[in-house]
Amino acid sequence: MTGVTDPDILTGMILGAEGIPDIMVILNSPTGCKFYHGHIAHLKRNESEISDPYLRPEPWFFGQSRIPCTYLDDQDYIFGTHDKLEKILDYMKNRWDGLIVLINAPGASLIGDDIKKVITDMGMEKRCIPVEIPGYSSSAPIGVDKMLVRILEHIKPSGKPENKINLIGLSILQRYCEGTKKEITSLLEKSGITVLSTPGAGSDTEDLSLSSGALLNAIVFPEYAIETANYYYNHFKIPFILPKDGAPIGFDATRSWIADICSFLGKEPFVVNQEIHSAEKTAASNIARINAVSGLPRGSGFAIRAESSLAFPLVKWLYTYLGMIPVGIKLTDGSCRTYSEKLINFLQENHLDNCLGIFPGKDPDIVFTDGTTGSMMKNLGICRGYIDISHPPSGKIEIIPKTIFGITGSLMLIEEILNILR
Amino acid sequence: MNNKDPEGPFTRIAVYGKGGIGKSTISANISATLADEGYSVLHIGCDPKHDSTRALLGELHPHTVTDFLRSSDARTDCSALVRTGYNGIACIEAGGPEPGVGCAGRGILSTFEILGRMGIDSSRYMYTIYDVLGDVVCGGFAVPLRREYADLILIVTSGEYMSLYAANNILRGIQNFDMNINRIGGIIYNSRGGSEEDEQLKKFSDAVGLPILVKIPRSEIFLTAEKHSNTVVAAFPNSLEASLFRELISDLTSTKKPVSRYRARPLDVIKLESLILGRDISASSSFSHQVSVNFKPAMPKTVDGTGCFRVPEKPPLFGCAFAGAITVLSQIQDASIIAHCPSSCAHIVSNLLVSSHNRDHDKSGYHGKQTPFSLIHTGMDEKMMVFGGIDRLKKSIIKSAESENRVIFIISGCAPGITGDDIEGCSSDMSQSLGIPVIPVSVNGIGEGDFSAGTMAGYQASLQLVKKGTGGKRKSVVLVGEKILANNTSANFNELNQYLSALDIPVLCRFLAHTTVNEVESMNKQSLILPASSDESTLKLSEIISEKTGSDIFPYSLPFTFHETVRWVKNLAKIFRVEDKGSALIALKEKKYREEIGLIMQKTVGKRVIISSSGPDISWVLEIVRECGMEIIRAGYLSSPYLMKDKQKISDISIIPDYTLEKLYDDIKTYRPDLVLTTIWLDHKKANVRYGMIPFCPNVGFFGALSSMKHWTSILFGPVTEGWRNYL
Repeated sequence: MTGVTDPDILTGMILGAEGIPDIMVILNSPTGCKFYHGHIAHLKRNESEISDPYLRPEPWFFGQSRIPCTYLDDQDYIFGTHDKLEKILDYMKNRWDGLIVLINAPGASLIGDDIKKVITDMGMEKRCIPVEIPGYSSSAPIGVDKMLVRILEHIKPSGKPENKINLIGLSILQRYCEGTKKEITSLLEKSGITVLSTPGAGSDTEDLSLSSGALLNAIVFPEYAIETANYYYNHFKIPFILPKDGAPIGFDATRSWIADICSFLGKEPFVVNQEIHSAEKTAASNIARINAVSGLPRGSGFAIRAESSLAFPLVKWLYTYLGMIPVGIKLTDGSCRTYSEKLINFLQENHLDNCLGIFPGKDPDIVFTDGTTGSMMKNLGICRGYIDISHPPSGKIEIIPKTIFGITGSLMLIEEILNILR
Repeated sequence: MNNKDPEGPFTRIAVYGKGGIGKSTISANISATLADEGYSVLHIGCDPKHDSTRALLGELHPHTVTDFLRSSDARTDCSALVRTGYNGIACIEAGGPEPGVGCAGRGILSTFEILGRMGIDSSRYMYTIYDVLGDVVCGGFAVPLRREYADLILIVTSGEYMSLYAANNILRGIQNFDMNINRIGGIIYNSRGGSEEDEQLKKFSDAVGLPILVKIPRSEIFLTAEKHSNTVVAAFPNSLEASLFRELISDLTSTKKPVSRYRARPLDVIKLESLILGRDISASSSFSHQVSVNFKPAMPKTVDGTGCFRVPEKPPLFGCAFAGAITVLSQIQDASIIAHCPSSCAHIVSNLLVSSHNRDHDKSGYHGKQTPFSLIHTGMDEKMMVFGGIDRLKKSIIKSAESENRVIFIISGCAPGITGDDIEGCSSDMSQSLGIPVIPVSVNGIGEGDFSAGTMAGYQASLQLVKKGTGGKRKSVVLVGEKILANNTSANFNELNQYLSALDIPVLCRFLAHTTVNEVESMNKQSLILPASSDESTLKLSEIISEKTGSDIFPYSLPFTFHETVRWVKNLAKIFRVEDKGSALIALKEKKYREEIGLIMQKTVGKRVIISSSGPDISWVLEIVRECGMEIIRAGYLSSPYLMKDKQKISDISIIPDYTLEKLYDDIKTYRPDLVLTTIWLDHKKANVRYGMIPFCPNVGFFGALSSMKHWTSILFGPVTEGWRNYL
């Protein structure tokens, strides 16, 4: 049985760029690479335009609103893509005001076309960032991270110092990016901390230009942010924090994450701690309702496949807070080593390390994974239910921005878990 | 990397020339001479043979950049890539894959990228020499020609025609980069000692407008120095040859009179041949010797009976053959699929497959388990791009063979098609050693074509499981060409299977949908082929299967309307001599059908409708609409911005083949129909009308069309325009 293969560095680079509203990605690729990414970018950017070849008959876009491509065929692999690149850039030059990122798909990168030269010959060096070698089969978070650094290097931020922070490591590639950003920003504001920018998750190029004025880079997911954090540090001496307990998922890690940021900035998270406490009480009374009848969720098995910055706090919380038992844990490629080691230590301390490296393991009740794989596992009878925590989504339409992070996210997780198990 | 003063002295010199012309020897001697003059020099060999720096190091460079890439340990000390040679020259070799495998051009690209990442660049040295592979066979080998690398290009050639031909080719390559920029310093004449050589070279140099910077005479001294892995400049510093290099360097490094730079002005082949060989080939139709050949290619005839041949224009490919092949082969449950590709391709196709399986499962109302499929991929990384991916592929095959699956299909993406991995050879070897079929599907991404070309390749590959014709005849059917990405595939099959069960006709195999290796193999027994649709590819596939198995093809595709289904059932029953069962089935369904259609007609008689489709056959729509007493004002096929017109079948004389979107909107305005049935989004500002969507994959069977008609009827009673559209 196989589920969905994890997205790789190409998807990361594309969505890393598309996460900036005034950047358009052009793919030097066959349409097969384009359609999927065009659909995902449209979805993740929450665009209102409808994808339809009759509504959008213009060349290069093939009916979608994002990610025009050079529709390479086998002849282009032999003769090169210079002509098509010239034509597509010429077309986009006057129709798109913002920055363009021109990315070679893996096959196109083997041809060896000098795409920088095409851009220079078109007089578009200031407006177009070339990515000649997208990378092959590395993790998607690395792609997001590298893409952001490329864009920052091109923009050359020059913001004046401000008493605000950047949230880095969020990306439209992640599930619930919008809701997570909203939740975390709100928690920070309640602690007296203002967010200046969220590179890769909705901040435009002007915001990125100002981002160098931040006091601190607060990392949410280091897998998506370490190179970005180093860039800011090396160029602007902006320090970054890697919170000790991972991403803010579950009450404990949320409390810890906010505390770490506040501590660095000399703030006190009173309000947030109060809200967490209140949420914990709400959660407890609902859990008790199920627990009183069935004893659940204690003893229920779960499996998780995620980056370690998410897996570590989630596993810890499900085990310590809900009494659930991990039966399968698979860390995705590119996981942060710090959190991977912490997870391993935690599992060893609790004699659970035999579930590490296997997925989904034996008879999980709930699987935490991407929505498509989760849905498949449920249909295959592998689990009772799934919780969608990563890309690609299950295909369900979502209108209200949700999150599985922070206080709201913790409550949502509990709601989902209880409904699956009851 | 910043460009230095364009007037010189030049700091980055690319040396090009035909393979075997002495380029590496000359470039090593140039580096040695520069070092002797006190300049710091970086010498980069850009040839997979990695022998450019041998004479400077006294041995082959032990650590090429591609070796480093292969070892992939991030903690490896990259200083090992730079070896210090004669007189402090920093030596780097790009290296590359073994001959015949991988992509050396990719290796060169990776080399420059790795050197850049490590901060090893020419800015630390006064002079950088790039010694480049003789034949610039792809973009990778042209990297040193890029403007951010070489400031100056020197071409090494002899006076022999083939060497001049290669030099001319190099000028064409340079011209592709430079157009109107001048970067060529001139020609280094490495003489072979032929009698007319000087004259030939002079003619060439005059014709292309490049000076001959130096003539290196043929000399045994080079061979002697080579034997000792040394340069002539180092081994014989007082020789004439060494002094020639010193003169060359003196000119190249002169600040008082910097060497001029020239533009690339290659000759066309006819002129070159005429100039050097004195042959006028302009009148001949071929460059090869004229040999009469008794061959007449088959050519399509024009109306007047003459033959003609045109290279067909290429429309864009929709999707890729790789995805198409995997999509159909994933339907064989106990087959393993190995995608030989980078992870990005595997992610895209696995998401497509799992999503469509999920949707089909959900929509079918089937509460049993969803059918799994097995797909792994080789995760081609940069190393495999350069060195080839066959080793990893073999490991994946061995791993797959450990499962209980009975056959392994290997499908290739774009990358192995470009790097030239021998999938067929590997599959054959592994099949022999493992004793199970390992079937290659070398679609090479888009090499085979688009998604539907890939599905055909997948079908063809799976037919290899069917042994020809010894199976005998069976009372059974093979269902061919179900639309497996539709979300009603299972529901449609369940419906049909009811009818077939009522007729006591078993389904031998669903080719290819939710099937097994056994079922595919059993197709060697003659059955009746039931085509799922009447499109070209299904009919073609049916013919292929028929030819392979001897089975007949049922003349009717799956029915959508009541009457189509009656015809289908009757004809099927007749073939299998179960007419009484067929009649009983029809009678059972007819009663219910009449009741339901009667109810619908109460609401639809006299209503006026326009029908437009962007692709699927709409004859079933016309039938059901007419049966419900509606008046068809217009019916037509919309021309798609992307699809070719001849894909649409005109099965009803009243259907207009060239129905444009503008005409549709005009007709809506003019005729004000009660309902529009279409496959596309309508702009409510241009067409304020109730409209319903025609499904691309309709439901089959007695009640198939009726189910759509029920929905369309209910639209007639809703608002003309829903409120939410006003906010678009």
